[in-house]
Amino acid sequence: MKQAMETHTSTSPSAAEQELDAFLGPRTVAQPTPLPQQRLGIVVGGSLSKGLDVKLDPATVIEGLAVGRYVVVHGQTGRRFFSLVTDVRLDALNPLIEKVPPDTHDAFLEEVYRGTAVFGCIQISPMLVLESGGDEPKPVKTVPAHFTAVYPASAEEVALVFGQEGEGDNFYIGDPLEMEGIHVTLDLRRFIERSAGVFGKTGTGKSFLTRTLLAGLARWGGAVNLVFDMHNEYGWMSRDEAHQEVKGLKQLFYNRVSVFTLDPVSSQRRGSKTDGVVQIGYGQIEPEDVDGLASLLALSDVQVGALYFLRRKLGADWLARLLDEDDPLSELEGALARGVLHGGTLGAIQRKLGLFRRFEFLQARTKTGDDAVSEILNSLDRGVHVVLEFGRYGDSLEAYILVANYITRRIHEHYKRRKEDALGSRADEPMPLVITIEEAHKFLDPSVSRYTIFGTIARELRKYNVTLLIVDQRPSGIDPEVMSQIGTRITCLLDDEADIRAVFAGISGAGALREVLARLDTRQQALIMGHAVPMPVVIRTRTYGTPEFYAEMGLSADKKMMLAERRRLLRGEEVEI
Amino acid sequence: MSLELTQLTEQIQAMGTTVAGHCRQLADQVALAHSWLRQYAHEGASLRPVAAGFHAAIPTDEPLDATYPLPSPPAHYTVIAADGSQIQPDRHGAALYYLINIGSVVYRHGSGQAPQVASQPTLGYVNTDLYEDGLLVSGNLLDVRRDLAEVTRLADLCADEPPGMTVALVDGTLLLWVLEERPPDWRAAKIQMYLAQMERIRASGAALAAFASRPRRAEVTRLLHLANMGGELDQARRTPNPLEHLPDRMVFEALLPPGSRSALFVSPARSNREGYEEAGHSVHFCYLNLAPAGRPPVVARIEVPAWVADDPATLALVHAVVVEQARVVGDYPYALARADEMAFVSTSERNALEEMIIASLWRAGVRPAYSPKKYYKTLTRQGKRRYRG
Amino acid sequence: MSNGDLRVGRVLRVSTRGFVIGCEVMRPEIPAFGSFVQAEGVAPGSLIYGLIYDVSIDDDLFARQFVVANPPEEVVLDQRENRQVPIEVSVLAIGCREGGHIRHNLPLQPPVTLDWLYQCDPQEVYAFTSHFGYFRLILEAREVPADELLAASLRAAAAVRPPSERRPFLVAAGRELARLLSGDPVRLEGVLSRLGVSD
Repeated sequence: MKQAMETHTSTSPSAAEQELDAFLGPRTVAQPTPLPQQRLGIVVGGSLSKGLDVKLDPATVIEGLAVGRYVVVHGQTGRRFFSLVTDVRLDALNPLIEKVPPDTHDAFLEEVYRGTAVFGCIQISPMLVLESGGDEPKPVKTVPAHFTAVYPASAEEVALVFGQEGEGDNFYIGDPLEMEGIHVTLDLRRFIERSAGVFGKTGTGKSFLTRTLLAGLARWGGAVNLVFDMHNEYGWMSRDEAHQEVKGLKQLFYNRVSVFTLDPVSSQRRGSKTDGVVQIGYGQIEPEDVDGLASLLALSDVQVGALYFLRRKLGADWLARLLDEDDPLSELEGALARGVLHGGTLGAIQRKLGLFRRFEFLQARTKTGDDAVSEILNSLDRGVHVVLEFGRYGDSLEAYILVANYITRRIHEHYKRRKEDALGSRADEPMPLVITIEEAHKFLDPSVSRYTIFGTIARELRKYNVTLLIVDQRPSGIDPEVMSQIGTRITCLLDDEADIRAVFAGISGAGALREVLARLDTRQQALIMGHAVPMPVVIRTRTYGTPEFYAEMGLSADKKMMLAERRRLLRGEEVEI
Repeated sequence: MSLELTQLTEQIQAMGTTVAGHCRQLADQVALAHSWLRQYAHEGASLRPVAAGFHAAIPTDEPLDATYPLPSPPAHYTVIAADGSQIQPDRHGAALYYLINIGSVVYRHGSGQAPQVASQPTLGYVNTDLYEDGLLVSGNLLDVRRDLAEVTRLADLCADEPPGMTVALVDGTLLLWVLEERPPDWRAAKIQMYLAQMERIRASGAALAAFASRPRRAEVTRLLHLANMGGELDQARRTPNPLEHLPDRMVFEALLPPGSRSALFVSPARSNREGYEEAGHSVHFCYLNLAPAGRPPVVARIEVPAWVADDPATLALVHAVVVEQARVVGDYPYALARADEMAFVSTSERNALEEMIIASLWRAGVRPAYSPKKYYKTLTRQGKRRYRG
Repeated sequence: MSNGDLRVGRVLRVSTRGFVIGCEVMRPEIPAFGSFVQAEGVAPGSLIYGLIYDVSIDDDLFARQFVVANPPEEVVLDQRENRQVPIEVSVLAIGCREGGHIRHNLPLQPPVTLDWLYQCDPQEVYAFTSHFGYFRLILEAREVPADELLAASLRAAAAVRPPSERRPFLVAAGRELARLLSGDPVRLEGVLSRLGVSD
């Protein structure tokens, strides 16, 4: 050392430095240490059923904590408890402070009081626990000890819980609150294991969310979609509130999506590319199909019962004959005379069913071979997603319910047979089918859910590989028994007490999440809970409709390439993108 | 707490009435005294030989009713005052000892310096200190030792003081008061010791005076009665003195203008004639009105030795200095008041001394203990203390 | 021995909770309310730490007379320099040092001899006030103006710290007080406002 110092004066600095380095060894660049996470507070009480109380540290800014955020409690035994913030409140050591607060102009007093005499508290619901050294979160069965520290969840921890996109069946659905850039994923395999629901009051973005889910399912390829598109939103194209064009499923996954329509005129007008027109012959309608419309048509029980009688009596053409004013319906005379069938009942039925005359998709006779249901089934069997546009008939609830019921019953029947056939050999199992219906409470309200096919499908769980994706703004209208079978619930903002209660039916620990739900933004925020996520999560939903999103769905920006690809696939048909 | 104040109420009331009556009586006496003072103002020479026999003030050459105005004091002068206090030896105490504490002040007027204050305590505990001629040194014996210590300290300070206008002050009297019962040669010896110090003071060039406030003596009034009796001792003795119990100062209160002094007299005390006069320190006295103009009179008595009384300049210095010092506080020379303060030993200080002594004895292996009488006195006389838990 | 040290003249009361002494002091050096002092304990090397919570000055009749009069310069100097002020100092015990460690407990025994009351120097004050265990002793003391005393002692403790440390120290002390006085927010605010931080 001394030598180096002596030479320092005579030689150039660099030489001296070299000598120092030689003597002391090469300098090691200090690794930047990762910033330790700021502790939020400590657990001071609470229970598993009602949630844990956390007293916030003086340095924690309470205004920066929102319900719905993720936090992690570092337990005594090295376990980590993943929890959701479910409530935020202010507290004081002495309630008298509320009556006699200190002088607010005094910065010193405020600094002293904050965190000691007055402090913030949050309530958190522990959901999952990660053993120390473990890598798989498990449901929580106990609570962390007193005074254990609570930290904000890190990106690694969120990824650990929700999985990375690209791993297996995970689909990126949105970002957790206050954690932009971290991807929350849905396990699509689990998503389709049960029926799922997208809820939220009007204008909260249910359609966009549904589109995203459908796109995710389509891209995944592990299930096939059948969408009863009431408002023509999901097929080819739609427009958002700002009147920007939003691509539909067919634009994104061209060759894997078939768009059928009930109203070709409307579809053409909208520029929607369709693959077929759905027509149903009167002869194909059965009383069960009309039964689903009972409440809408105001059919009494007597009248409903009469339908089955009429079918038996009049045969397969029963509906056409009822609607034919010129048909004398002589087969019924005997029954009328005997009083088995009431004249008034018959008249009422004929009147009410007269509605069907307005439905142009209902034809008195259809050409055989033009069976809409077979066409749809064909597509589905090939793994092609089907979107059924309703055109102008979307405004008619009767049309929607009639067609949805009609098609679904037959498809369900088909799936049932295929599943039973496949019980012997697995190879023939049908690909899982997800049926998307809107205004679900019309199909599933308590008075009809027992009878509709949708109620049946919901209750069946996935017995025949068919599940529902219901989109609805009035969950309180849905039969609670059905609701409890809805495995995954994605909820945007709801403000009706009954709706909120309904959405949480059957979810354990739901009480704590109520506040979270009530505080969601009106747009682009949703609470996901249930089967497809390891724990409830509040997300800022992924934005549908950006070029990045389209690109991620596989839509190439290069038009030429797309065109070439499509040409190749469609055997030379020129298609305008 | 055994004084039954309620039992005394009647007597106190009666006392008030009596004293009031005395006041009226005093006023008459004062008037009479004034008239006699004027009447016999120039009888001093004739009264001089007989005054001492009547214990009356011995006139000097100054007329009896003379008053002398306040001279102006010099710009620079020094006052040296000494005073003493003592703690009596206590046979019932833990140990036998006495304490003499001498306080002194050197006040240099016009110097701009703070006065030099000091206190010197002396503990007497060896037998040679505690006993004199087989008697325990307490009471008058202790007072004598204290007085001697005072005047010695005064003399030491005067000796150290550079030449200049210096006045040495003591409180009370220059006459050493020794009990009559003591043997004459013992008394004479003590007086000689005192006189020796007075001589040292004279030798240093300083003046010397004693100051008494609120004096009760009636030597001048006795002289007036004697004068009224034509100087006849027997007659004076037989005839009741109409000025009986009238203190001199009351006579001079109305007489002396502010700051003025009365005529000088010579003290008729026996010791004055016995030792002081011979040594040239015959004690003279006069009365001063200390009050400034426009204030009620405050009359004090000062004593000076002959060598001060006979020197007009020195007498004037003493006169001026005493009055100026007294006017600082109001009625007592400042330096003397401070010396008194320096000499004072408070009860708590006494207790602290007692504890220190006891502690020292303990360390030395002696077990001091109060006598039973003292012990019970400490219990009953300290009052009651509240117990605070 | 610094100027602030007091020679104990008389001891009026001594207990483990504190002591009251009488002493005489040069005028400008009258000990300050809230200042840290120490006295020798029973065991050799042990100290008892205290806070001065009362200073009473006996009535000085003699000096009073000069208020009216116009005394000469020498008299004024005499009063100022020579005459000692008899004062009574009350000290509350707030800690002790035994075996080299500072503890915020009452001493086990009161001092047997009390000759001197020493002023604590800045390093001792700093070390003693690094922990807040002694707050309790002050707040719980009886017949003591606890709030004012605590505030004064904290101001003194802040003053011995470098300027950059003062506010954090007072904030930390304030927080401890917020804990101790949680049951009485009005009292808490009173003490905090006396710390001299708020303007």
